[in-house]
Amino acid sequence: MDKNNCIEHMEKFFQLDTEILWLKNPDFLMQSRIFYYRSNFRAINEIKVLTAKSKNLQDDIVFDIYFIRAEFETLFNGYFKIVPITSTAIAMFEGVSKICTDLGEYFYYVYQNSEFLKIYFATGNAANSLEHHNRKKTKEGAFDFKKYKEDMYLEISSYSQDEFSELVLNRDLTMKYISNFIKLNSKCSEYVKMFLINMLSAVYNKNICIINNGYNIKNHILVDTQNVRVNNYPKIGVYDVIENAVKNNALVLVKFNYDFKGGGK
Amino acid sequence: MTIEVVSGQKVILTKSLDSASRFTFKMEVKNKFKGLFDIDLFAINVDKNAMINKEDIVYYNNVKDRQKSIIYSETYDYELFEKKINLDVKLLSETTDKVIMISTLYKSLAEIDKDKYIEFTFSARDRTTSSIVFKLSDKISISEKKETLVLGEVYKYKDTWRFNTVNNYSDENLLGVLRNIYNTQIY
Repeated sequence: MDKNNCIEHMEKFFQLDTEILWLKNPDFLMQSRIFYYRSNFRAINEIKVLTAKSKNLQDDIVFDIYFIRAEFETLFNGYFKIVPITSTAIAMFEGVSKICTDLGEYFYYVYQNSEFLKIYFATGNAANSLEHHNRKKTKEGAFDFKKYKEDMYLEISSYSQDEFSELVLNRDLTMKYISNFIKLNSKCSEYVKMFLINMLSAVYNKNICIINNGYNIKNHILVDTQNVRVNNYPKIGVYDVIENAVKNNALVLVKFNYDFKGGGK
Repeated sequence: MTIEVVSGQKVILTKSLDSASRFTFKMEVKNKFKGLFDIDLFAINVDKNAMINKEDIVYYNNVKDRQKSIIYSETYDYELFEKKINLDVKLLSETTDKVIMISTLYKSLAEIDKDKYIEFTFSARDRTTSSIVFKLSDKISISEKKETLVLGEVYKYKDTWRFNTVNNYSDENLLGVLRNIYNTQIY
C-alpha cells in the first residue's frame, strides 16, 4: 500500500466532520496543508479543525485533529495534533506520534506503524483489530517498559553523580539543541522532523533528557538525520518508550548523532 | 602576569617541546537569559590537508576527540555559565595543523531584550603551573544577527605551540565559517 492507497482507505473507513462553517469538504489530504490553516487561523494558537469518526458506528473510532499555531525555524510553521477520543481510537494511535505537519504523510506513517490500523484496513472490523492489537501487546516478547526502565536506571546508577551530570545536557536548552541539529546537519527526514516536534511539545519535554557521548550509555533513543530508533532494542517503537515514560513518570535518554553536512549559511 | 589579548595578537603557549603541554581554555558568560541565550564552544582539530574528521569536532555533544587530546566540559550556574576545553598539545596527532576555537551563538530573539549586551571572557590556563596564560574580554550584542565568533587558533610554529587571537564575528554559521573562511572539508 502506498500513501495514496492509504488515504483512499482512510476516506473509505472514516468520515470527517468540522465545526468550522467555511471549511467545505474537508479531507485527509488536499485541505490539510499547514499553510492553508496558517493563513486562516492567524490569531488562534490551538483550534479543533476536524473530527474523524468510523463510518461504521459500531466500530466507535473517534479522534479529533487540532491545528497548533507555532513556528520553529525550518522545522515547522504550525502542526497538527491528533487527540483520540474513544478507547478504540486510543488503541489505533498507541505507540505512534500524535503530532505531524502533513496529514497525508502522517496517516501513511500510522498505517505502517499501527497494527490496529493494518488489521482494520484489511478486515473493516474494529473488534477484530482490537483483539489483534491486545494480543500483540500481551504475547511473549512484547515490549516490556518496566524491564526497559529497570535496565536504564540500573545503567544510570553505575555512574557517579558527577559523571551523570557531565553526561546530561542542560534541560532548559532543548530548543537550542534541536536548532543546532537542524542547522549543522543534512536535511532531516519527515519521520525525524516529527520526532523533533514531539521533543519540543509540552507533553514529552518533561520526560526527555538529552545526553552527550561522554560515556557509553546503551539505553537511549538515538536520533540521526534519517532515523530515530531505540538503541539496543531495534524492534521497539520510540513512541512506545516515550508514551510509557510519560505514563510512568520516567526519564527517556535521547542522543543526537551529528553528520555536519548542513548548509553553510 | 595575565596577558589581555586583542585580535591578531599571538601568544606563546609552550616555549619548547619539553614545556608543560596541558591547557584549559575557558569561556565564561553571565547567565542573564536562562534558556534563551547561550554561547557554545567548539574546538576543531584541522589536519594539514585542511580536512576535519567529524569525530574531532569537540563540543557539548561530542566531548572528546579521537586522540583524547581535547576534552570538553560545561557548567551552568545561576550567575555564570562556563564552557571548558582541556587541551594537551602533546597528545595531538602529528597530522594536526591547528585547533580552531569557535563559539556559536544561540539567541531566542523574540523573547529577550534586543538592546542588551552580554559580556564574556575567554582565557587559557596552564594546568601545570596553574597560571593564566592569556585572557580575552569582550561583549556580544544580542541585537546583531551574528551566528559565530571565531576566538582563535592553537597552532605549532617550529618547536612552540602558540595561540593566534582572532575574536571575529561572522553571520555565517559554524559550517559556513569552516568552509568559506578556513577552506576546510568535514568527513
